[in-house]
Amino acid sequence: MAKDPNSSDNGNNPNEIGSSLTDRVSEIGQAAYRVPAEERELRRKAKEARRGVNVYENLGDVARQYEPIQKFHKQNVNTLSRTEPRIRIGAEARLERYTQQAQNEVNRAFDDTRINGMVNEMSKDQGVQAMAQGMVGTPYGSLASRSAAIRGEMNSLRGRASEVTEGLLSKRGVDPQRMSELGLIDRQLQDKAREMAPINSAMRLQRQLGMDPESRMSALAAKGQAAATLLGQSNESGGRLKNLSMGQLQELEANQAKKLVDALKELEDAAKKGATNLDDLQKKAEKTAENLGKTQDAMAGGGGGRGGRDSFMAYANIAQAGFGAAAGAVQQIGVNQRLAQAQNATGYASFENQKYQTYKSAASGDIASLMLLSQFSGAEGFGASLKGAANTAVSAQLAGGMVQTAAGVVDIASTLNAGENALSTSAAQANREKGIINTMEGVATTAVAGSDLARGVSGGQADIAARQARLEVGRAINAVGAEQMQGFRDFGVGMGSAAIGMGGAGENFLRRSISDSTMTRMTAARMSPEQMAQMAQMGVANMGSTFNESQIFAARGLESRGLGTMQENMQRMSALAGAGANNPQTALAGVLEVALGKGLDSSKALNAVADHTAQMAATSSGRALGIDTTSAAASLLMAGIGKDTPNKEAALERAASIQDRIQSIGTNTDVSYAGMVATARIRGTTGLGGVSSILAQGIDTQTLMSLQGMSPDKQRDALTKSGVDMRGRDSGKLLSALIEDRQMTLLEGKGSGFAVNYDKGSVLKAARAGKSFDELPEDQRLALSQVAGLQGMKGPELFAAVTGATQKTNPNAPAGTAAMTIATDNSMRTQLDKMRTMGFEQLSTAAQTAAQNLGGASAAIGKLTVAFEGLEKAMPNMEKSATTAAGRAAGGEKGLNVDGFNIAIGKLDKVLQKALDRSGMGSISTDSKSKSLPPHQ
Amino acid sequence: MALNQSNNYKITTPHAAVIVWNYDDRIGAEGANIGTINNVNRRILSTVSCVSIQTTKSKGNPVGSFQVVLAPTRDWVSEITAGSWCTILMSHLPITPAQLKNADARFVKMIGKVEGVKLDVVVDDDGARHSRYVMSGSDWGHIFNNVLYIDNLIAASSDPTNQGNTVAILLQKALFGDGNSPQSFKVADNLVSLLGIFGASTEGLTKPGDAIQRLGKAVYDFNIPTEMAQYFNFIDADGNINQSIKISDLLTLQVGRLSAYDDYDDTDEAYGFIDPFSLQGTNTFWQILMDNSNPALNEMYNEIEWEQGNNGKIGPSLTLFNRIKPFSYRTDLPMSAETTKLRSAFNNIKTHVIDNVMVTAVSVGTNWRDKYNFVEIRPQFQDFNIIANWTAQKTQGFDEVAFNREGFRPLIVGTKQFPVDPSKKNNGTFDPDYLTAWIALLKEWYFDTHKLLNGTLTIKGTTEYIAVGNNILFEAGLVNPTANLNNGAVNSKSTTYVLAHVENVEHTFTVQNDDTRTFVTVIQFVRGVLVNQSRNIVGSGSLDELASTIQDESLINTVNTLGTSDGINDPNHPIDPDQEKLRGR
Repeated sequence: MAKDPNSSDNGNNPNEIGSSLTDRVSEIGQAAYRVPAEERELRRKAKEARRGVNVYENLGDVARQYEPIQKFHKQNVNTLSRTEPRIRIGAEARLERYTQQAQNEVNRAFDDTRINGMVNEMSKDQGVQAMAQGMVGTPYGSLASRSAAIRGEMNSLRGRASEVTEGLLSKRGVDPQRMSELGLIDRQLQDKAREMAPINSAMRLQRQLGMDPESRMSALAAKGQAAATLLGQSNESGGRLKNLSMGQLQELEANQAKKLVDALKELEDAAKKGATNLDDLQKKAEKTAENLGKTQDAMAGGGGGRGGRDSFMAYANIAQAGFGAAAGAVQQIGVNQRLAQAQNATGYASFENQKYQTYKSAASGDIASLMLLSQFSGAEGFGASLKGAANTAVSAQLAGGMVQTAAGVVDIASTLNAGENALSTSAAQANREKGIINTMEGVATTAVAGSDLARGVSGGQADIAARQARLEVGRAINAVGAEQMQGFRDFGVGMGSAAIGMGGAGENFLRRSISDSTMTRMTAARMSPEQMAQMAQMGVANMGSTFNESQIFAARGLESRGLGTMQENMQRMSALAGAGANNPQTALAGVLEVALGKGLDSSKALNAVADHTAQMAATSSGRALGIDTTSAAASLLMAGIGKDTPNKEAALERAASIQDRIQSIGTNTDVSYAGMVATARIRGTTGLGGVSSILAQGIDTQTLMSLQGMSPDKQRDALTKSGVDMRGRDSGKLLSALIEDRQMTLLEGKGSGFAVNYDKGSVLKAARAGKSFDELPEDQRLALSQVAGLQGMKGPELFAAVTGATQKTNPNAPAGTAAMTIATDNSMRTQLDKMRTMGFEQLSTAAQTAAQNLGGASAAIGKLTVAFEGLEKAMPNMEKSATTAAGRAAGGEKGLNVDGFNIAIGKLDKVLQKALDRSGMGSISTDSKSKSLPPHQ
Repeated sequence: MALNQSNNYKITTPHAAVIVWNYDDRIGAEGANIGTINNVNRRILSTVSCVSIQTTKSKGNPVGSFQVVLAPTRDWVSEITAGSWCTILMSHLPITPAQLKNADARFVKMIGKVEGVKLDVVVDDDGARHSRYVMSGSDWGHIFNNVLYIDNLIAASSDPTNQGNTVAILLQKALFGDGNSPQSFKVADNLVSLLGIFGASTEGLTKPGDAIQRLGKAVYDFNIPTEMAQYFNFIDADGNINQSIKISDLLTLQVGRLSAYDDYDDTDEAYGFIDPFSLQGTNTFWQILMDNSNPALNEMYNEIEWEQGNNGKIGPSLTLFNRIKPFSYRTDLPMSAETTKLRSAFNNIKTHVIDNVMVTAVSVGTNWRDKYNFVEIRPQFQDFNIIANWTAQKTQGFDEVAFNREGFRPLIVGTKQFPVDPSKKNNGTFDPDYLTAWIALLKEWYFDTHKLLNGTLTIKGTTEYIAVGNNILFEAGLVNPTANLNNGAVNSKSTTYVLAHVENVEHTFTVQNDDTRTFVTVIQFVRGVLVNQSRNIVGSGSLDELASTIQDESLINTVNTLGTSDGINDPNHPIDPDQEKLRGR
């Protein structure tokens, strides 16, 4: 079945590369059963030879007495011994070859390179990137662990796929169950890849940001090395400040400290005002800090007579601690904040992209997306509130840094005025050290926080995270309702797709099938909405105007009773519909009525019964008149099979194989003695004219039988249309006479009955009395067998064809109809069927619940339409604004200033919210207080 | 049928005349006029104009012939319209106006059709001019030589296996009508159906034929002039006088087994069906009839049967015979029950007794070439091909020992009809056992022919209508005064006769220059056997199986002076002829 472009799981999945695994394997499967010309020729020869051998065997002793026949037989046997092994080996080899190809295809599907490529491809998706952003904060180890776990699951899938593929191409054709399972595995693989994509992206981002363990280790090592190098050089050389005296240095140090405080103050003010020259101010502060550091270096290097290695080292240690803070600040401001700023821009753009993707998914029918769309405004509001909170926190951090700086400066100043403060030298030294460290840490904190505030880094991060969190909340709350509604929506759309092929009858079909009662039936039948839609599409495609939804339930009923899968039963009905059954369900019931009564209840047998019956019915003359001959055909087909028949399937195949011969005998209008006798008999028994008799003789037995069960008017109409002159004739009597004539014609065996001199009248009488072949007198059994034998059949087979013509078929087919209801017994099969279909039932119940929440199935379709119409209305504006939304959101026009973020796309959710509210879907998630969304802030 | 042997002579005065229903409309290239096409003027050609008349009718040919030489009393070429019907009267009785008004069995010798009149002028050495007109024609059997033409172009000859084919339907309509008249499949009924095809027409073909300017009719009416119908008062199959002008209404079919003297029963000896496609294209009617006649068992020929109608009057019946061959002269020899049911006794054939006095010449003898030693029936019934290897075992009969002396002398007959049990009425079931019976009969009919007499018998005309297919009975003494043809005859104390089958009859009537008239009938006969007055065979009927059965002395022609000796000297080796008698001693 082709993918439904309207379903949420549409065929336009951007994450899927090329055609699906099942498509490719299906192609291989098709190729596997394409018989090469050479093999076709071999098969043709074998078939002819086999037919010859059969005829020879049927002729028995007669053939053995005739040398040319024996010669011909020998040739046939030789041909068979030559061709059949070649055909068998060829077919087996072909299947093996294609099975290997299918295996290769599976291996390719699970190949690491392909999976990596698929994951990478998926990673380009905006939604995936947004998810990855959300995962950046997750520890790298956790991500790696999950990634490995998914890999393991994929490997497990690969093993299963390989197993399934091994038996996929059977001698009977592509195993549909295995193919279905392979499809499922492929989908699971896709899901795993989808799950892996954001994880891999997140891990990659972490690596880029140096947040992975390896990067962090190497960055730390590099920083320490650089600091050590700097300090070492300074300590040894002392720089250009080394010639200054200690007093000068101390004065200089105080100045530098003051300048630094000023620079930092300026930076703080600027940050508070939202200035754009923060970088310059930051550099200025850094420079000041650097100068201060240099002064202190000089002082430590021996200026002012306070030299000495120990004191220098003490300053050096202090300076190292202070520079460590400064280096950290530089790292934070210069690298991390800028990266985070870029990430924020990406995050905002992703948010818009996510919105577009959500909109797109919604437009494709994804209910969850539809419902989520209405919540983007809320997410933005929530993000904004958290952004403000984050900025407050950063501001506090900035103030703390400044206080710390001021305190440090005071400490230093106090040491410089030791007399005034009556501090001992050692105490002054300690204070100065503390002051320097405080100053530097304070400067660093102030610079980082100020820069953060100015750049909006933390606020943006908080905003984005909050938005995602808010959306996640929305998703989570709507998840069940959306999924339930999705089931209902997919069911509706699926049925709608089915109705596409139904012409004018489609509307009625939809009104009938998308109804509460149908959904209740689905639940009771333990079917899923998807199954229902699939079966409906299958039914429409194969049965056309003769399809109706009841057939699906009938198919499910048969499935529950172990009479083949729903698909098989739908196929059976399709076969019967194709053969002219006006009501395939009734036709199948009729077929089952006969088949089940004879113990033909294996799926294989029923498939064969349906196929052969369809073939008979398809070739019946009644088909051209719109007469459903399937029941009669089934009756004739199985006339010779009884409950005691040991191998019913083989008997059925045999019965099918001789139907052509029986038909040929029965409808013989050849210009031959037998053919002309048959026509003349009709003239004699019915009084029909020449042409009418010829045409009546040409009507096949199943059509005559079927006509018998119809009203006189219909009989008359059909016979007249067949060219039989019905003027002044009783159609019922005429049909009875024609049936009896047909039976006699069969007993005449296309001339064989004249060659074997026997009392055909008595045999006919016995047949009409319902006697079995074994009840006939021995001489009649012998004669009948000889007649049949000369026609390549056995006596009971010919007799069955004769008796079959008078078998009455029950149009109500009670047993067949009963078999179409859901099994409710306590058999193990029923119990297991219940277990198997529980999931399907749940899906139907879910969809039904969703429909009920919106006032019932019919109303729900209307409301869904309203909701989607809302989306549709917003569509032109949406598409137009979505083109540049991401760029603007990322602040492309204003540098990286996210504060200017204002999206045109945001209008959509308002329109949609209104539509959802109007449709009632907006209330799905608000049924329960526990599901209520966080308020907008 | 008492034999009149009392008179040793008979004086006869033969009379003859020809009645011609002369068509007025000779039909020109511009086409026949339906209003006048059957208008006739009756012409009676008496012995004033008739110089000689000769008729010939043979059993082996459906069409007899005649030739009338006319004196140049009129310009007969312009007088007589070719294609006109006529009848030829010849009798020892005087022809009166009554015989010219209505047909009389004692006078009519042939019903024919003029094919042409020719003038011969010869100037002799004396310069005298001798003119004579020769009117020649064929007898009524020519209707069987009519060609039935079904245009393949119109009939669409495709699919010649299905009854639904256009041709099949139309011909079956023509044969059986479109109502409830199912086929019986009996050979006789099939032939009746085929005879019915005369005068019927396949309407379905007419319109399309007209549309494309092609002959759309498949069969044609064969009409005779009204005056002719009134003259003959034909007796139809039901014994009624039928004055229909359609030949198809007048034809009578005679089938079955001769169960008693000139009495046939309705034996259903064989069944078959008329293959409509066998009629397609061009076929003579006779071919079609033969095809459906079961020639293995039946003989088909046509003759005028003079019968007593329901009104008590004797009238002509145009009869087509398809009877079981009535050649079983040894009905004293038992055969199987199946064979007996089909056996038609030779002596039950209608017999004409020949007055010795009228016989002027006899030529009789045997012919080894008539003898067969192998017979085979080639079944052509397609339905039963499936058991062909069974039936084939029943379809040959032969005298293998005879091959060594005679060589292989086969008689192979094909038939599309198949045997059934004739004792069951309306039984269309193939019965292969009857093939054996058929073979037995064929052996009986054809393995003995060389022991039967054949020859010609010349008589001085006949008033009686001697039909081909009938028998004649004449005294064996005409052949041989001692009538010692077989051992039975030798030992018979009563008069022995020859019962022979008429194969050909030829009448010749001549008016001599001196106005005297002669009337001679020559009968060719076959299968002559020796019988008594009651037509029961004498001895074995034929020549004895063993030539030595008759003793030498019995072979003496006592009437002849040149008889053999009495064999006194050596009875086993007589001297032939007797030298002493040759010397006149």
